[in-house]
Amino acid sequence: MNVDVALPLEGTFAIQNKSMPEFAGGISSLHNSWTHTFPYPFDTMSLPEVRVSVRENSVVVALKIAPEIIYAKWLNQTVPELVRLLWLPKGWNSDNPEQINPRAIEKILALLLAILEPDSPPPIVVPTTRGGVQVEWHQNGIDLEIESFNSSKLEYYFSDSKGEKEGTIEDDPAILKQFTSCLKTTSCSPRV
Amino acid sequence: MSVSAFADDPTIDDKEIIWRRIPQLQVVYDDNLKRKRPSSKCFQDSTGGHTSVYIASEAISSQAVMQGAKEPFLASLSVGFIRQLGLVITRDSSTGGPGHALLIGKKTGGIRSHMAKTATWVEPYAP
Repeated sequence: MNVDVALPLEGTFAIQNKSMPEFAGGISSLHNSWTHTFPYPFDTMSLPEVRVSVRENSVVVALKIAPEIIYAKWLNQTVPELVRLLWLPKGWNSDNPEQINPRAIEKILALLLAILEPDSPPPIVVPTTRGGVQVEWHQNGIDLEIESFNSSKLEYYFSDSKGEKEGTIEDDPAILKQFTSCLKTTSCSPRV
Repeated sequence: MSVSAFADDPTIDDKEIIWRRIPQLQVVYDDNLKRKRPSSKCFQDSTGGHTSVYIASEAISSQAVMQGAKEPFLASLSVGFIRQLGLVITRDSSTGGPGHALLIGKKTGGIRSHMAKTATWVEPYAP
């Protein structure tokens, strides 16, 4: 993979087909350009599904998503931000971190597709020293952080004026849906 | 690395300020605070099981700490604050030069978040 610390990748992600009730589409990046690969062959048709393939000089993100999510601002903003982290070299800061694991990108993207709504606000994307990625929101009086650092584990931290809670998503998968709904309204009451 | 493996150094006063270098990719905008701040991931342990910092009064200068560093920004916290969070601090000038120290102890998501929201930028190394 061609490594560039300056992370020059910028691009937009859009899939045009509105007619299919569900479909498979993908994007690929080659440095400064994005191309759309559509349709993308999937073996099964369960939703959502995410595949991140790192090739010699490109990364392909294949998404199988529902039509109502295609134009979601958070999706179109977050996918390129996640993918560009794959260009970070090992040792990208002084703590000698690992390269970002493509499986961590798949895991967090699949989770976001499962818990966010089309009008959910986009998260901030942050690389982590253990080769993972953290998505975080700090708005509406809420702090929500979700970290994916390998293919099997997701950790979260949530706080608002009532308190704070943290744990692994595997222990309580439903709770994140409550937290993300609080990003849009001040009247929610999550189980903190 | 457990807290018990390293004792807190009582000769480091609570009023001392510590500096932590911050990567550009780990700076976030906090709409609740209406300002940029480090992400909580800036205070994640390194692969060595600690968080590397500099004691401001013992470092040669902030310029010396930032010279040659991959990180463009510098944030500060007080030693008293990190002790309140249950962390310990120990000097480690052998690996990081004058003023280098390690923060050791369990850094939960909540602890890291409190550190990130309390940290203040050190001029001129602010985003």
